[in-house]
Amino acid sequence: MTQDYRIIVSLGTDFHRFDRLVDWVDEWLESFESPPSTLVQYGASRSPRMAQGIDRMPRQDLLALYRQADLVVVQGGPGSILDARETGHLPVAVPRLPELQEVVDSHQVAFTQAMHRQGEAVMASSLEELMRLGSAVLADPASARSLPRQAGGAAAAERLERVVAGLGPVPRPRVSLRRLRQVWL
Amino acid sequence: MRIMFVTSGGGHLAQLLPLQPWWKDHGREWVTFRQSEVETALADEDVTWCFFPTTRHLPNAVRNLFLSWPTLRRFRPDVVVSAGAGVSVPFFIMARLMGIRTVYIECFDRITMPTLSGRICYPLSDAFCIQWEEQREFYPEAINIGQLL
Repeated sequence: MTQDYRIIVSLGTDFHRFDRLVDWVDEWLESFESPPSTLVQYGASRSPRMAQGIDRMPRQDLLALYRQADLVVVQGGPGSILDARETGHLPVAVPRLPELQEVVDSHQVAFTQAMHRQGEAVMASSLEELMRLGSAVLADPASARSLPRQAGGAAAAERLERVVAGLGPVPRPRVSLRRLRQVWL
Repeated sequence: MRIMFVTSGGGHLAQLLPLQPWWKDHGREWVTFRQSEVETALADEDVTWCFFPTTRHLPNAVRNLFLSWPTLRRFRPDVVVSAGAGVSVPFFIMARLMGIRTVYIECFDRITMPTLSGRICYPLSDAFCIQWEEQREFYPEAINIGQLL
């Protein structure tokens, strides 16, 4: 990784394939007269034709590449989105779809939509959206930069501390039948 | 207080690490997977390595049930805290049998659908915590502690 890349794409390191996003990145880069320098961490998917590729790398190295990039494109998972946010990038996020066997269920779609609503990512669901959103960032990289996002752990830790402190001294009945009904029936 | 954290590696463990301002002042032991990133993250902590993979893996669930008995008996935690996934189930079952309190935290990225281990542990938990209000749809008695990540 001696080169500075303008675009970093990360598909995470899950064992499911996500060739669709590699296809999209290749197609987008083909549309340039001189394509911007790009690195794809492709995990279990195929390696890119139009960009440099690496299957996986240490997280700290990936974060360093994010910091010097103009655009970060990620799969719609929490690790990928929040890593980009930690380096002050508003990433373009593409959720994996269960109907294409890219993931076990549709939780990435719901998660990416929630991140989009909260202003933590912009969701792209088609090649056209990826090209439009990505080109806008390349034209004005500062538009996708922010202060690094802080994890919410401190406030949650205080609430959890109160929850644990509020537990009764003796456990209630071993299994709550009411809760079994709520969650299974 | 003595806390036993039971959790899968990777993202599940990553959700318990930001709780350090709380757990650093208490006695604690971790039960999780022996993976290189996990060993790095918990280098200075006491860890019991459990059997994995645990994702819908019944033989390892049974192995972890047999592991849970001596582990809980030796450490005698006041509370077992888990952020999922599979390994939480045998430890929660054994903790209930031993009269040890249990606290489950549902996953950060499962906003609109419950996890399998969350559904199993909900009736086994003294306190069931969620990170998004949307998750209450599946767990009406849950307590929202907000986002850990």
